[in-house]
Amino acid sequence: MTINLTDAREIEEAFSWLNKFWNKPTQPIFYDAKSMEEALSLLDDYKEEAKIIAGGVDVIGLMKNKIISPRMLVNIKNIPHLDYISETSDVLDIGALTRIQDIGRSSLISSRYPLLSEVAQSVGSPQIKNMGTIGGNLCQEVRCWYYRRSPITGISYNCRRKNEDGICYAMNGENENHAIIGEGECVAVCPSDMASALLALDAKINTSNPRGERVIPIGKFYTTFGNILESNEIITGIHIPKAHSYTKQRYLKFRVRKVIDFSIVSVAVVITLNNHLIWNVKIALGGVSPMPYEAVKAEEVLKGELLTETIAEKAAEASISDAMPLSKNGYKVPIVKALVKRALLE
Amino acid sequence: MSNEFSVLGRGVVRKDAVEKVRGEAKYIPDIQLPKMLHAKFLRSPHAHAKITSIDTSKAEKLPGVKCVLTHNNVPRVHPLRKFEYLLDETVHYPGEEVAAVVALTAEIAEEALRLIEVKYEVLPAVFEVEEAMKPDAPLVHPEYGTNIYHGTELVRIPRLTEDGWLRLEVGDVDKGFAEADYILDRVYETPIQHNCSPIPRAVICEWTGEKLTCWADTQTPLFLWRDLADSLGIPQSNVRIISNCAAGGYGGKTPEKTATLTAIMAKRTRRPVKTSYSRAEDFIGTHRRISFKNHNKIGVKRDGTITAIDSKIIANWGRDTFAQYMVQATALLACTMLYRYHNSKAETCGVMTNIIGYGPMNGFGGPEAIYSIEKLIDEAAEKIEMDPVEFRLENCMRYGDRAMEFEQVVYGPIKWGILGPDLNSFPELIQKCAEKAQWKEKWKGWRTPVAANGPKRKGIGVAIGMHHCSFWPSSAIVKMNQDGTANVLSMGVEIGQGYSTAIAQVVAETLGIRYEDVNPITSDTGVAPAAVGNVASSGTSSLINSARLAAEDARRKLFELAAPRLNATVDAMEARNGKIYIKGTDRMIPIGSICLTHWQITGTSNNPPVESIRDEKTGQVIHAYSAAVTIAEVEVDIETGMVDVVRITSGHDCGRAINPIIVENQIDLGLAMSKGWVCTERFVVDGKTGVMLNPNLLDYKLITFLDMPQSEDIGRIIVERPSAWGPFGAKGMSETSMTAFAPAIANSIYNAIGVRIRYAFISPEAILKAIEKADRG
Repeated sequence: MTINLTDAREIEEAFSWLNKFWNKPTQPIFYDAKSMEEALSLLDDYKEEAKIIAGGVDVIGLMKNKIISPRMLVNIKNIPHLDYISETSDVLDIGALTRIQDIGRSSLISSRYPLLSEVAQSVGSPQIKNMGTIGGNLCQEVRCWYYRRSPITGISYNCRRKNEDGICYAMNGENENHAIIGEGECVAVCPSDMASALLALDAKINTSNPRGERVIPIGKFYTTFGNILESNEIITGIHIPKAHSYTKQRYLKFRVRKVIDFSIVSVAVVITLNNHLIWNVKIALGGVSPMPYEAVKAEEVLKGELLTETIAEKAAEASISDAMPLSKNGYKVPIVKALVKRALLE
Repeated sequence: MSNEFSVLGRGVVRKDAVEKVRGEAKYIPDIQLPKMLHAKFLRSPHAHAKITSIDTSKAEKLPGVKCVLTHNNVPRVHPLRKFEYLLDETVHYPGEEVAAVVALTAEIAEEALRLIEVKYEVLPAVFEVEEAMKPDAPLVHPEYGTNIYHGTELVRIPRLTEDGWLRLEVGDVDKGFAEADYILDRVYETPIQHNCSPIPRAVICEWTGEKLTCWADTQTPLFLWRDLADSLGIPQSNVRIISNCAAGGYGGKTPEKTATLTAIMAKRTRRPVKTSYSRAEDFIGTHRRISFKNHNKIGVKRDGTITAIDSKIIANWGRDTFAQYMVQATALLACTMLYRYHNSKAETCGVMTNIIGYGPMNGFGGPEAIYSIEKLIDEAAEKIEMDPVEFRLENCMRYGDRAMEFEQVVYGPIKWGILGPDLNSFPELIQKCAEKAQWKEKWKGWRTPVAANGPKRKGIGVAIGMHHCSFWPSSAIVKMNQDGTANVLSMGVEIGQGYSTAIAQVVAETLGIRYEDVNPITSDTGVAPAAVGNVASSGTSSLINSARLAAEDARRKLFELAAPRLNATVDAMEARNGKIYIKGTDRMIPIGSICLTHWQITGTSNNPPVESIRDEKTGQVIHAYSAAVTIAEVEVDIETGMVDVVRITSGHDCGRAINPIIVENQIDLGLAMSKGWVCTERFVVDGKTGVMLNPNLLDYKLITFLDMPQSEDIGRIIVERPSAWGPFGAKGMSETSMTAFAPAIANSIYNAIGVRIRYAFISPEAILKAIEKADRG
């Protein structure tokens, strides 16, 4: 489509008018960072007004819906050496830019860490798996329909997640997809199943910031209001302790459609047997809480026991004993129980 | 299929296949005109509010903004005879248009919306029908005085009673109930669904002098033509609608006032203007499937006779509609006709609320009524311990039963005719489906699942359905080209359903020329003769029928011109292979040579009136209906509430399958849309604000290919019993295809879990709740 010169000039004027009016550019600057240092220094300069983009699966959606309007988009996808899957004698390392598709297709991962493989394969759709990275997956914003509502439709919710003075609309609203466990200031659930799987695998997250590097256990990575990354901090990789050869892993995801959907409930189980007795077990639940939730009570029920149907049922019961469902999401409780039991026994 | 036809009954390559696969087909969003501007709409955040002030001065100052419309500067007309105005100072649901901006780019227009300052005085609102019917309920249209619709000065509904109910009654239901051994009385609901076109609605308007050209994504160009001319106060001769490449409307691509507003903006700016909705706008700013609360009562005898049925349907209209009571008329017919009840009564009222209004959607009231009726029929069969297939076989409608045109329910007078011999397809379909689905082997009796494996229960269930496929006035023109090929001019719309393919097959068959040599010129009001458009499954039965008549007219003219040249009479001739032969001989003349020497040969037509189609045996007027049967097999996980539809056997009656592949596609569409409607596509309305919360394709869950049974697990049965009208006996079947799936799924779930779900929506939550309730006793 060719635009005549007068129109082209006027379009330019429109955007400079808008920039002046809002005292902010209407479109962010897109910067292609070539190195980690460059990316970190840009993030440091722009602080909260910068956003990181890699696959763009989540950030573009948030921008389109005007939930975020950054001044600066720092593209980290071209930073070298962040896309890898490697195993050493005691650890599996996955680079932050590794695509979900590559994790799902890795034979190393499917043979030794089937949990991760199953999670990766269940993510979104082929298009999303091809674009999305593991780092981005862990940093996804919640899918709460009040939080995500685009003001372009004329309707938006200045909710607690966006504003300290805001209220949580889901708490007493349409909360069928929301948390059944949590403090309750914001009841949106962590959408990342990768996070629950990594919690069950005891993973750690490596990050870089201008002062150096950090290692954050996945269990400490999230709060009710999102992850704990500083505005000038980038995930560089995921660090997973090597799977014990007697370890069984299972991941189950419950959702309405067989693809695309996020979990209503998901369960990740890693269980290590010793002489038929449960020597160690990790059970992580997704879709139930603002953070990936470790079902500690269920783990306690299981430790040292023989894995039988009765004990699995007991553990399933214990896994969600702390649930305090909201008005419309009580149905998640029996689903969690069924999934925990099946993940242990199947 | 027999060999009596050369083009008919074959799955020929679709006329629009190559252009669509190559991306050459131009949908409205693809069209770019020189100097075109882009429009965006500001929408109400409130369910009900008065605009106390609206300041557009900042938006108007933004460079690139060419025009801003508000209720202060548009004509005060009622588009489509609705309550609403083009733009109003009161808004009646969250999503209603408050202002429109047209600018050089869509981005600038969207930015301008943020610069418009609106102050609202929020008014009380109501979302549920029960609330809205209470005497002290907030009024959606306070000036109207009630939330129960009973017509306006612009819309007369002659058969509506004073209290706002539309009724249809046959026999004496009180007497019928008195004769019954058992009476069942149940309340059911049906969910809201959104049409969810593959392409959100879009329109382009351009003025040249006083003439308006409108490229519209609509399935009813005639209605849009009338409405644009009326709303703008200009003659139809100054308006041309082009809709030759529409995108799946499923009933919903009906006219919107958006076209009128776009035309006004184009006129004020003297530049072409495009309005192209986002997915979210398409969800919240258009219309959706009606939702019913059905109170059904049935009387049965132990021998399987249905003595009476009484249905009461309260419909949630939302803020407004243009199809006042037509959808419910279809529902009343479905309630009173599907079975051979001697005493039946159905009544309905439309209640307005402050949510998005309803519009037509695939089935148009039929599936909504049948979803409930078929669950009740199942309950009745269970009550008398009769096999549900057998019960339906005994009682389903067929040849000779009462029938009529659905508009009569609204406009009267009621003139009952009958169903034609083609409707003997119904028992045949039931038998064929039962056989193919191995019903006898699988059905283990009431409350007994087909199989149980741990927490998984397999169930089987049956339902039947029907729909009218109207025989409407329609015209077409077959314009012979000078080389013996033909163009067929029709107001029908190629909207993805295969209209251009089917019309070309019928015209080619009639003229005796190749399918490839027929060029359908569809839905351009500048050239096509009048026809209603693609609604009410009438595309084949009405519009293509008129194309057949026009082709016959052209053929007759060709024969007359050929007669002297072949030295034979008209009666002695036949057309095939692009030539006119003297029957039974090799003597012929190519159609092309007649066309070349006689310059222009044109066939025209008008469908005959409904009353002229009569049953040979009884002399009674025949009405066009088609039948559907579905046997569903599901697997329900009773611990998680997950339902998997594992196998479907579905039989459909279409009179004549002009293109069997397209018929099968329609069956699959009916299944996909039905499963979505009752299992996944929850239309979430915030209980406090009336806001639709999931206007995107992640949260509004259209089913995917993986959520359908495997193609080999879908048994598609087509029965062809030619009807007394329609081209070569073909009837409409697309909406019929949707009617039986949803209740069959619901009934098979009952067989699997032993609990009836009468809620609207069969979510895992609903299943778990029902099981829990049953366990508690």
